[in-house]
Amino acid sequence: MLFNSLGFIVFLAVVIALFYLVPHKFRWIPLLIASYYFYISWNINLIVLIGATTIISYTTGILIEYSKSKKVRLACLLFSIISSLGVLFFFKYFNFFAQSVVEFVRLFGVPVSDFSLNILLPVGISFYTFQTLSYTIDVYRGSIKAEKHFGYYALFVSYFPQLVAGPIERPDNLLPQLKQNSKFSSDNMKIGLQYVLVGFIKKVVVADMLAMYVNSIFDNMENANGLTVIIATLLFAVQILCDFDGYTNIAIGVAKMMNIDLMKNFNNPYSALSIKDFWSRWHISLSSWFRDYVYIPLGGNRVGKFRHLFNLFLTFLLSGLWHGASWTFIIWGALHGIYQIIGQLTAAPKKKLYAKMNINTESNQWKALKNVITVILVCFAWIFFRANTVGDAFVLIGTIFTGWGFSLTFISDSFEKLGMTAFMFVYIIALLILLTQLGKIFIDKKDKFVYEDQSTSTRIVRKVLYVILGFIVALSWIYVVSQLGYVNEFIYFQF
Amino acid sequence: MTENLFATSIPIYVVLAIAIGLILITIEIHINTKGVLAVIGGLAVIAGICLCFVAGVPIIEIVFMLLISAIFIIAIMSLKGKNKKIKDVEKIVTDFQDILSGENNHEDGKKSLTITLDDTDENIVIIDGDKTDITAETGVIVSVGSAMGDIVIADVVIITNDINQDNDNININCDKLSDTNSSITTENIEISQNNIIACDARSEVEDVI
Repeated sequence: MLFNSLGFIVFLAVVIALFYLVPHKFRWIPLLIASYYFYISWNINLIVLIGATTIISYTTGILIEYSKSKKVRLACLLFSIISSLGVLFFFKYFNFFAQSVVEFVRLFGVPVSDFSLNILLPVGISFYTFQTLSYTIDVYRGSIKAEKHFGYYALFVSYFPQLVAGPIERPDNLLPQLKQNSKFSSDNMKIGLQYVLVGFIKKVVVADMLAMYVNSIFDNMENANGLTVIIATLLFAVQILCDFDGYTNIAIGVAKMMNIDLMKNFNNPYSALSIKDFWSRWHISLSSWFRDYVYIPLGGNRVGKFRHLFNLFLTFLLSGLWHGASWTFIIWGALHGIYQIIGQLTAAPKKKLYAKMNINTESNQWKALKNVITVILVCFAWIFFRANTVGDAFVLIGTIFTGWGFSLTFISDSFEKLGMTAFMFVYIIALLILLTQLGKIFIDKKDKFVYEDQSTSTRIVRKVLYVILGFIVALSWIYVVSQLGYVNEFIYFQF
Repeated sequence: MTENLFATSIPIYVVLAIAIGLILITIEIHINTKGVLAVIGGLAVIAGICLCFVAGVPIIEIVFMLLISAIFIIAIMSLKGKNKKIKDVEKIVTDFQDILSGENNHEDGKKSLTITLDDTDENIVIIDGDKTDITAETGVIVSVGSAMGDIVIADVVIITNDINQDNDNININCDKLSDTNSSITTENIEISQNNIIACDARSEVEDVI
């Protein structure tokens, strides 16, 4: 069931009504049933997978807490990690690795036939696997107590707003909130609806619209020239942010309607001044997960310089692999790892150089330059992320440097290849302007934005604006569905 | 790209209806009629959209008009509602130092500081330690000033776990503030040596900074 489908709107209304009608003690029951219904609406067989993952992590969590023997605790932890990662590996990576081995063997002239299993990638498996792993590891570290109530634990694993594409929640944040006695709060309902509206604007109005132009280049290589590749890459950078952040906003909003605060996943990533800064703003729940459960256990930066750089690289490589079983994602992760290493190695010399050259690194111009460089590096890596194959990515990159024409019709031909008319060009500019202004009109009391004039007049104008934005979402949805012939999935569902 | 940009099928009366709606909303924001003009203006915009359907205007063109209307309304709201800033930073610094040294406690022993927002340009950053994900990399920065979410050099930096905001007032409960430390730096926040920095004593906050 997609967030941007009509079925979900009905489902959500029923769940919210049940949530507040059922006494607090039993609320986990309708929520758990709703979460499982939400999940198996993709494929009923998925219930076995999420059920098994839940039972294993729940049981090992209890055993770790009650066992006095260090060896037993460690064995339980390893069993939980290996079984969770084993399931993830089998369903997500087996065919990829098998095919990679086959191709590697063929390099030596050994005739080997293709080998793959007919496995369907379960939706959201990477997200809930990481969530259960953080639970088991935290129980082992003693930073949280094992959850005794199986119902609440199963709900923690399967909570539908964030089940299929995060944010990857931590048990110490989500579990206590699932248990709290929530009373209906009109403020939270209002904030939740605002988040949902913003999420739909980002996904339906912006991301889905841009997807049509991005696909016209990345899925039709014959349309690629220097200009179209650059435009498509920039549009993809906006598309993936709006797609994923849109999902996150909807998830946060839906949870907020039940008085539950999910963690923030994005913080203006394209305003980053360095790649390191970018990763503190992009997919925060995943980057913090890798930091806490991979990078720091590897030694983080409290080791020798070489080991530190290795830790950084490995963490980003694994982050790339997490995104998908494809060399494109691995290269994308590796590129970010290399960016980080170069950033670390050049930090001190750059500082000295700037001091020598009397460059004011606090000036707005300097920050703008750093931001532009960061965005270019990020966009370069996005080419690998979006390309269908590594070969395609290299062809597209090559085209950026070679595919330019000097005739007067080059620009108009390029826009024709993108399928973009003059009207649509202006339309997209308007979309991007709206996108940059969204933060000004939505209040989130928790984040304590203070941009708002609270006068009656402004509040009513804001409501009028919400109605207009609601129309924009509804009509854009109709337009996109009529153009594509189907409801567009969220990009991160495939991970 | 060679087609006529303005070759749309939007009837002129629709454009007029929407323009009148937007003008009414603009007047509402500037003279405050308790929302009356805003409602009428909103209805005019929606009526314009309904007329579009009657006239058979393509959906994408209707959405475009709505987009322009939304951007226009946000723009006039932004012009009207300037960002609130902190008033009298020097006094806040003095009050804060008094609180930290125990000279400005309330009679019941509680320590608190109320900051009133105004339109001055001074800059203050309040980092909400209540956020469970406050770290150098993921800290949610509540910035009352011009630099939300950016690298910030502020006049006052307060790291606390207990703040409330009620319209123009930000109340900071200072019960847990125990230390000043001018060497605190994080990845996202650059703090100059002369700033007043207060950090609550929670070890997890100190650890990650």
